[in-house]
Amino acid sequence: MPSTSVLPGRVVARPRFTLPAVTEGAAIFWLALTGYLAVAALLVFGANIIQADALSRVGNAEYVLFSRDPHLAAIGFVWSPLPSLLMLPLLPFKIVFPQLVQLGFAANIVSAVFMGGAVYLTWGILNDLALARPWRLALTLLFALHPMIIFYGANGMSEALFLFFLILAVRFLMAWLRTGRLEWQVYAGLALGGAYLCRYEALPAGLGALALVASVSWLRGQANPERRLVTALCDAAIVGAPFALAVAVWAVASYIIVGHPFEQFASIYGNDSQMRTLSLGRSGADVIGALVQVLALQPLLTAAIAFGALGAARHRDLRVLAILAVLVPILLFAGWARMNGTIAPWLRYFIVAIPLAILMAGFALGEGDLSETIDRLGLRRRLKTLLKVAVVMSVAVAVAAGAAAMTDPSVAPEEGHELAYLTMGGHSTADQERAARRFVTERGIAAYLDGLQLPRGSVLVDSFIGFAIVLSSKRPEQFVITSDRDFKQAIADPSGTGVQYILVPREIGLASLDAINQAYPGLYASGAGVGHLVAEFRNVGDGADWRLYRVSAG
Amino acid sequence: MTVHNRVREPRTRRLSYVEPDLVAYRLLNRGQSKGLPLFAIIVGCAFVAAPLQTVLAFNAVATGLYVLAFVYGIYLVHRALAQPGMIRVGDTLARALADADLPICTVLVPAYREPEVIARAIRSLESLEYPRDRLDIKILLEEDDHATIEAARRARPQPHIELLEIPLGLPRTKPRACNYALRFARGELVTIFDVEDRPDPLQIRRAVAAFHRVDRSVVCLQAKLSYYNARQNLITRWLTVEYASWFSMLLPALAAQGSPVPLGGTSMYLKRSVLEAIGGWDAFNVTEDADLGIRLHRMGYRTAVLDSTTYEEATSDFVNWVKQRSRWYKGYMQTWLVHSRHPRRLWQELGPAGFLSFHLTIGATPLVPLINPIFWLLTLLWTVGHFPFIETLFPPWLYYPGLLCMVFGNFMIIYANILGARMGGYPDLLGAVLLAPIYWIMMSIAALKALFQLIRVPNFWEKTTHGLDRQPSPEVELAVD
Repeated sequence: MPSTSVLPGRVVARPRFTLPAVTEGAAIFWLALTGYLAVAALLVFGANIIQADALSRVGNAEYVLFSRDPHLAAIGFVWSPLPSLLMLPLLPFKIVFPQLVQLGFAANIVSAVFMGGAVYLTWGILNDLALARPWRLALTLLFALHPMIIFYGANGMSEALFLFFLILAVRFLMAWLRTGRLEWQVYAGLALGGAYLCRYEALPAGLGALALVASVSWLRGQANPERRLVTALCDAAIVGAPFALAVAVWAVASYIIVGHPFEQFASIYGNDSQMRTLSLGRSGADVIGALVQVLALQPLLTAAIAFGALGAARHRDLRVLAILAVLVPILLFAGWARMNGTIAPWLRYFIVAIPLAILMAGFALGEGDLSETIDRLGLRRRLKTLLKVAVVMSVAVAVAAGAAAMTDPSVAPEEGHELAYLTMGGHSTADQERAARRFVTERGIAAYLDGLQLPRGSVLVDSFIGFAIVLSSKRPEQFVITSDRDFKQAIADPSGTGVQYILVPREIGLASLDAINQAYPGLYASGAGVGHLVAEFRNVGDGADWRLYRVSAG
Repeated sequence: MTVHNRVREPRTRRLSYVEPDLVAYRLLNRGQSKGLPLFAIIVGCAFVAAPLQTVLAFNAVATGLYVLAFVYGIYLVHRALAQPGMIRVGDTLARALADADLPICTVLVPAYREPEVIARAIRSLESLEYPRDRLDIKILLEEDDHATIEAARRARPQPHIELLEIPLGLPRTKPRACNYALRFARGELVTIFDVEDRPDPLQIRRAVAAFHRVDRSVVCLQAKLSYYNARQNLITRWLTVEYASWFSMLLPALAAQGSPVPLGGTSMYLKRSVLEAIGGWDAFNVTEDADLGIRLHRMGYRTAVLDSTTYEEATSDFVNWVKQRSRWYKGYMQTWLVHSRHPRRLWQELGPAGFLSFHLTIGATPLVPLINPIFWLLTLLWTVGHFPFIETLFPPWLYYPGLLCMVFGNFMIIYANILGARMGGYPDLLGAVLLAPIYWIMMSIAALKALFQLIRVPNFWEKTTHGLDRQPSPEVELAVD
């Protein structure tokens, strides 16, 4: 500290307390993280809004560590492993916070962290585009505060991780397009591989990225025409190899352990099977339905894309291609799969539209492109700001649209009911009330079974449907579940494997895929000669009714 | 003139007077030759007393080594990607140096039994772009190699190229010849070229310019090596990818990080004063270049990588390849044994990071191909037969790390080689990289041969045959930038 005193060597002013310098990006990340965690706490502890898929993934992680037969393969091969793997380190803390598992809060923590990361990365890309601070923050806020982003940051679903890896891949590809350095290719490939391990929809994104890298590398190879093609191929291989590894490793592991490389399609618990059971098949209305959902999330998506493309074209900025190559194929694939009836009509399949619009708007707002157009047309400078505001509004209107969409079950069939209940309070429908009481009955069943103080492996249940019961129980080792290596044996011969009770759901909807229902079709109705009814549980929420049968001896 | 006298020639064995324990004259020093049998006895007793636990312990050590090598590999590649770490001197800058400012450079070209290629080598040396009065080129010929001496004389070399006859002596190795020549060297810088090398003509100028740029502790500049017959067949492709990965990616990363840098056999530019002070080359080490690099680092000097390429001939024949590769592995084993003699001193001189790097680059390189076949065999047996004894050998705490290394470790090696090929300018060798597992089998064969030779004839320098590239005056297949 330089001395400000006339006396030499004497320091007069010395601050007693200095805050560490916080960068803008770090601040954004921490704010987003705390925000999403707070919302998560409200959703889970305050409103009992827990997503079934999220809880199910916590279940997969729990079965690896704390089930009756802990083994790594219990992570399950129907869905991508990364979300559950990331929850593994949190689970031992359930000793102190049982809600991590019982209410699945571990999933919420993971999704909050990664959605915060996605927000940070979005800010980072807008920073790379050299946007002025007001616009940068405005767009980042519009991303972070979009109701869909808030909800999926808080609710524990894997979309948060998916978006994180996708936006990370976009950022690396943008860096590669600008600098041509090998390291960005490598990290982009790794990010795409990570995205694949979160959700299978990363496949179209990976293919898009490969096509981009190959074509740009080929176009840049004019200096060495005879090696142009192989250089492009090699560059594509560098990006594609980690991605291919993720696909191959997962497929091979799946093949070795469950006998089929792509369980998502083959398994009875997989997507195809579920779609057939729920009869959410194809219909002409699906095309409209898909479009409505996309527009509900980002009404002026096309405007944002157009503006952004124009902005990038004026500046000859290739980086816009990174965004388009990675994100657009996912939307196209989701639309096509909806038309085909291959995937369910969930709103979240189109969540990628949100970062797409934000990032394209970022290109539209970059200094020098819109300005040049305006100056060339001789318009006044005030109009420049007006046009920028228009671009931002085109994205901002999505916030309101998104909120409306998410509480409307016809647009958001998956989460519409419980969110509508949340917002409407007293004027709720029966469907909404049932959604609000999700898993309540299952917790009751778990408490009842815990009270019986049963020995290890005495209750047989298919965790595909009954995961909420297993997770709510304080004694998870009393269950024989799907991931146990002797599950099939236990179904075939319950009493021989020590099973005393069988929990079976009513065969409506997905519960007809329950392994026990498949093995003993009449069991729920009448016991099928296997056992006699001990208890019956009518579900007050939107889950299945359950019956507990005592296995007859012999 | 008896052979006996020449062996004691101090100028060829100067290192043994400077640092007797750093010479590979004896493979094991006193401590090692006592420690090794003791270790063997302990292991033998352990195996008798508790066979399963002993085997598990070996498995654990091997798996630990694999995991360490895997993590280190990722770290090096990451560093290489972030910061290439080579010193680049452009053509104009290299030519801008005034002749008067250039130091004298001694170029040693050892040649033994190369009558066919010696003429070509002389022509290649004459094309170096460096003032002839500042070049001190010595072609080192063994005294009794009359065919090559004759062929060299018939090629009528220019006056600045001297034919130096090395008196007979044991061991008949390249470093012994170089040590002998060192006493007649006039240059401030010393470098070595092999007979079949085609150096970049501006390379010496680039080295001089680079020396002005680097820190005073950098006394050695290693240029990149590559092959001019890169695409002749699959073996040359594999070799080219290896060299590309090593010189374009890994070596600069090691140098940039301050880790010990094993040198390549040619095109290293050393300051003669330093070279003499540390005792020259180890005449008994068959990879004297790697040994020199480690010794330089131990004495506090540093090496940097120069972005200039010397093209060598890649051996295209399987038997020749095994000879060369087993010599390299044997040399690395020698180097490892020699420098591990006083571990505490090694730790102090290299620092913890350098110590680890030394063991992973010099020690693991020949060791891993030796252990690999054991694990390949176990994996094969498990896939085919699911034998229960394999399951007992791999409890979960060994199984998962081992699986990780097998899947991700091997992927990383292949991926790093793709990156190396791309960085070195050989993107079309992608196919060869993907066939690398066959190459790994070949490496294990060579490693086994190296082990046998290490035990039986440690100082024997198995010569690689040159001139197999089947082209009378081949165009240099330059790398793509």
